[in-house]
Amino acid sequence: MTAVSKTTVKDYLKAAAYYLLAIAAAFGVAGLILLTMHQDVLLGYKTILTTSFSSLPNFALTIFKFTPIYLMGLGFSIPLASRKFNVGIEGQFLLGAVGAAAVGITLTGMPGYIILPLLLTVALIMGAIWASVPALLLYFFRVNEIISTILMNFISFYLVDLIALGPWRDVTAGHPMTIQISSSARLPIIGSQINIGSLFTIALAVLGFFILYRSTFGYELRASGSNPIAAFKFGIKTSFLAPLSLVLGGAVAGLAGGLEVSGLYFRLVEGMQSNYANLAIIVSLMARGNPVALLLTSFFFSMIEIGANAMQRTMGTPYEIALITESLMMLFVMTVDAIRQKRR
Amino acid sequence: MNYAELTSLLGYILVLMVPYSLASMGIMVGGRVGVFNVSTEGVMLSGASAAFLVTYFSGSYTLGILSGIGVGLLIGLMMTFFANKLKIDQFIVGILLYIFATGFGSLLYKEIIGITLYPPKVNLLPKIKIPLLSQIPYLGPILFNQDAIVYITILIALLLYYLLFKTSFGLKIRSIGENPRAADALGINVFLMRHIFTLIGSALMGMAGAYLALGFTGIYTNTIVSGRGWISIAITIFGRWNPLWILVGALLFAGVEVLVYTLQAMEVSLPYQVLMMLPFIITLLILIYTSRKAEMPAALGKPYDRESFEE
Repeated sequence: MTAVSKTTVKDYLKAAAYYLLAIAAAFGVAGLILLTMHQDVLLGYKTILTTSFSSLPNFALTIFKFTPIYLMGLGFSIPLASRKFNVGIEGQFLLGAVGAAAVGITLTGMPGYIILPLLLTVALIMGAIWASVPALLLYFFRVNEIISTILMNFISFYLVDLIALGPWRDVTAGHPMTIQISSSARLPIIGSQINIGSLFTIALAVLGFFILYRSTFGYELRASGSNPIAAFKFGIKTSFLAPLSLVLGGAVAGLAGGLEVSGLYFRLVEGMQSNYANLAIIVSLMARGNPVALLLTSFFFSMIEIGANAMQRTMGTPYEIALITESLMMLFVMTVDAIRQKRR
Repeated sequence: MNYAELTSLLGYILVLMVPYSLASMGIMVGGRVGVFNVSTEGVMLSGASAAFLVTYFSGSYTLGILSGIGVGLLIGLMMTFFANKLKIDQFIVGILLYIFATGFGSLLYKEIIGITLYPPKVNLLPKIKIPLLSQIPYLGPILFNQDAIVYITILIALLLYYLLFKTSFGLKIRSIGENPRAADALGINVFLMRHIFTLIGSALMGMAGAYLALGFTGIYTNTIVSGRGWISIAITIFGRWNPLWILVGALLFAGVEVLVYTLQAMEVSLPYQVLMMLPFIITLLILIYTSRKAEMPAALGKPYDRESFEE
């Protein structure tokens, strides 16, 4: 292990101040865009930042968004440790949803304690299988994972369309979707609004943190990401670890899809992936792949999402303003990092 | 299928070749100086949005195409600032700019046009019949009855090929993508060239998007690009970062796409979703095929820093 200089509380505060500056800058640009659109900038900020906390249903909605964003963020973070970009979380999420819908629709009359674990396991496996295609292409043919995972996304969109309009199609619905899953395949709800799915995120955050930062596997994964040549010379099987991390990431993203089917939609719906994948990528990069920091960034972005949706409803501001602000936020955070590194 | 249907179908291959080859050449041009710009899909969407809006309100195709290029330059400016100036990981910047540009293109259209029941339309770019040549049976209507951008795209490919592979300037440019340190030692302005070629590349991507709206669909939707930007990255790799081979690859994918539409129109027994998956599956197969002999610029994706050791 190398000697690392001790980070003091002052350093942390300094870093926090810099990041706040970056976030403020992104909001500043968003404000300028709102100005050119002749919108009330201050009302926009207020809506974005406070809607999540304005009522219990809104807070519950925030948590509903938080779960898939966090889990898909984790699905991006695990391969990120070995410097692989799993842009395929979207497709892996959808395949998880397909698996969950298949279990929930076909297996009826079984108690929840059997069907629920089964449903989530199938979702997990389906996500892993979908990710294993790019993983195998990476392992055997060194195919760039960014392109292959994206291509798998497009294939998954048409697969979902095929299934949602297939034999399980809900003919009463105008939008492509399947019939509902059986009632025992649905996640129990705690309190009045929040389903048990969000508890998974906390458990997985802790688990993910220990795997990535406290286990040999995580150490080797990070070593192969930060310095592949050195890692290889120390006997770490770098060429095997990176594809494996993609499969693991796929499993987590698949689980997210399963939870969405079992806890929110109770069926497979075309477009249910929303734009979670884009958000998950940004929150994961912002948390630098750290599963615990990811809790914070995911929640922050869920809040922005709820706020931006409210803005679209009440002020008529196109939702895309959120996407622009969020991507700029990450670019500015990295700018701050780059400038600080140069100063050192 | 009669003569007119067949020739118009095959003519579509050349139309669809344009966005694929412009976007791929955009990626190639950046790659030749060591910058792997994966924001293509988003830049194309922004380019399509801007070009459609400008042509819709001004009635000018030239202004439309130019604004597509302009938006490409704008996002290229961000790309080169973050990736070349600040030396942030090119893939991360590319993915973030893809997200940014997707949001930007969509916002532009929503803010100006709004949500309408029937999307507003522009007429497609006019076809230019080349005298005599367009009279040749079969070949004439397919090759010599196309809009101006089809011809311009082929010219751009030839020009880029000549510039990069037949001139000493091109040799210098390519050396930046292979070994920036050596190029720097030879007195080539690595930083300036990286900025310039990143911008040119992004402009080509914007133009590709502009053409989708003005030469292919005549309308703007958020799904107008639908993966063609990502496929273009594969075409670039398949084309070994060479403009002429990229043209071949673009023709191949345009052919696949036209085949998919034809099969759909013929109502084959396969579900249309399976047909729509085809281009993406073929892309994956091509990536496998090219992996064995993939030739990439050696310094691709790596930031160049004079003060860093190694390499």
